Amino acid sequence: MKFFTRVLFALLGIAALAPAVTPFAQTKAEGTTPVHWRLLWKTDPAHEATVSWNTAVEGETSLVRYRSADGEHTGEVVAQRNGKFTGRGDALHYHHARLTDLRPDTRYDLTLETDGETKSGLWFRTAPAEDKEIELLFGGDSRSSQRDRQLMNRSMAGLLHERPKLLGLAHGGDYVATGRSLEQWTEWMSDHELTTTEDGQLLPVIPARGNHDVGELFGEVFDYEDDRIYFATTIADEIRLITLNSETVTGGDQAAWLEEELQESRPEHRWLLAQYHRPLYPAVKVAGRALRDWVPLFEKYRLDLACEADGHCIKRTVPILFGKPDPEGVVYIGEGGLGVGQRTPKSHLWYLDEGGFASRGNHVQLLHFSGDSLHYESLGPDGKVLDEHTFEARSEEEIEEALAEPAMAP
Amino acid sequence: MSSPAAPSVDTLWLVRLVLRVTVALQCVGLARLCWLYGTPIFSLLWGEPELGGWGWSEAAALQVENIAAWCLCVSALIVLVRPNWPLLLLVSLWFTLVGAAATWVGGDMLSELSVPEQATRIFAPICLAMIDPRRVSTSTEPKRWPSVWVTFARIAVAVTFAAHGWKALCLSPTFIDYILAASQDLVGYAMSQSTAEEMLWIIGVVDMIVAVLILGIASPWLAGYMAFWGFITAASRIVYAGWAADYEFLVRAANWGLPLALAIYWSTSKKFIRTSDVNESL
Repeated sequence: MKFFTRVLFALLGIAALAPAVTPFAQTKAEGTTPVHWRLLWKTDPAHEATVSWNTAVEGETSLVRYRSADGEHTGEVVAQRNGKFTGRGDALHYHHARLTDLRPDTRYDLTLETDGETKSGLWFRTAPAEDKEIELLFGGDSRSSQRDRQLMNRSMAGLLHERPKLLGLAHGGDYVATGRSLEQWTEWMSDHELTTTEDGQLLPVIPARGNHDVGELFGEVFDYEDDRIYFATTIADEIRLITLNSETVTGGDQAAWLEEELQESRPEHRWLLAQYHRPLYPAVKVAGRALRDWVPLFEKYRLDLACEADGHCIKRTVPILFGKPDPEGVVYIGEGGLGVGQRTPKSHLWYLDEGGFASRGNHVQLLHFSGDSLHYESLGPDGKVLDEHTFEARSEEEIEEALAEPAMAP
Repeated sequence: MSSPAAPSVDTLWLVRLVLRVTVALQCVGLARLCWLYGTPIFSLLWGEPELGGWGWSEAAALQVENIAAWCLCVSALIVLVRPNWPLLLLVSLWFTLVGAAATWVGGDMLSELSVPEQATRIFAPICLAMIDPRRVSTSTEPKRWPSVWVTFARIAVAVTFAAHGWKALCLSPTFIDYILAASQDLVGYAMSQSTAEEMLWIIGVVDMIVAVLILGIASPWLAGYMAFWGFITAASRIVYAGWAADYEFLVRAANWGLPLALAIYWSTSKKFIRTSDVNESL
């Protein structure tokens, strides 16, 4: 279809499109040598993790050996899911080894192996299971500018190295521009290696789906086996991060699940967050479809923070409740700057006006949870603080009052 | 073979009026979209050259959209008052570029179907260009009425319905959300997602069937149904998102306007249909 598009433009006398430059992948897979490693978290990062990597040749046996820092907890897990990535181009095979029964807040050294070829020297830390001061990164849209993506990846590796409380990255989607392009995914996975610190620490990723992440490759890269891709993650006992899927039906089953999830989680967690791709209070584009299905639920259950992407800018709204500013409302941050051209936000919008923030520039958002405070910073590639704000945890009385109110449409 | 009777002056005036209003509405809808949120043309102009974009600055790309929006508004006025084929061809060309750019940008389920989905709005101006300059003879010897626009209209309507039908059969999440919202807002019934999926599948089958039928059967009832359904589905955007989504309804005017024009044309020229029109049209 791209070829057809180009022919159409040429026939219509439009100046020729700039020739597409084939992206250069840094790490090329060879034989059964593990490359493109990634560490994935889903629902229980204190006890579970998926170690993923690629090889050029599938091989007979792919496994992970893990060892806790004190040497007392060791194991070997054969990759439960292996296969060839969908798509044309150089053959590339994925391996997903799902580790369970891990110890919380523990360093694990890893060795990846496929048919005797190994990659060692990698490690990660599981999330704590108890209430503890932790940090989380949020970002999205790493899809278009390889240079900027590599810059941001290195920046995140630097943060991981410098900040011992930093646990992982919640990614709001749009990893590549063309979801069905194995070439682009290969490049992304290769660039993702840059998030690994010099001493081998992996940055765990909690991946959401973006609108450009169409097709089967997304599930093959991140070990999702169906299109559902919405779930909740408990971090350090008091933080509940709900990953939603703005690219599937936002009403129906997902909305029903979300309501049930919020109903259960709100009373049990000090902090309730959501991440998804299409913004509901956007700074640039039109609001996502989920505006009518999710916002009433967010507001009814007093979500603390909604993390959004897609808009390619930096934004933090005022607290919003029932379509207007309210100190008890939900704040929406975003909107994607991990490697994509940045847009100029519409700062005049009421929810970005006084008390809110809007700007542009590559960035990642750092969430620092400490007791009853959540300190948020939007950091540029050089670590410069572009925006910051502190949230206080909602009181039990506030939450009880909110739960007694009916949900209202925005 | 006897000469077919030409449609009356009143009928053709009505067909021309429907097409003028249709094209004007779609121009206004696209202009609003340009101003509010931008179109895929912006993404193409601003996109990274490594990925096939033109690498323009944001300001330059927005300026193109702004100029296009004003041109579309002016075109809407001209189309209503005094349409002419060069302008209509330009309008058709711009809508074609928007559809092609949407395919290039991607980022949606089946975005490769963007051009077929938008076939009606691409061809509506062309059909108007074909039909408008001609005048009906008032002499007792009725002239042969050109039917090329009918062929184009049938193909465009068929392609649009087939493309939407295919998306429905693929259970487009957007379409499912629209059905759920319509059920809740209009009827007060909280439909389950599985029921909505079943309904959508049936809708998809019907869309595919009528898309095929319109190519072979010159029936005003068939075209009338397609006009009705095109209107309903265009209006579903407003049901879902409120009047803030009016541009979504306007830009889809041809989804109901073009089949409506066919319905009017066929309903008032039965003799035309029974003689040679079908053969000529096909």
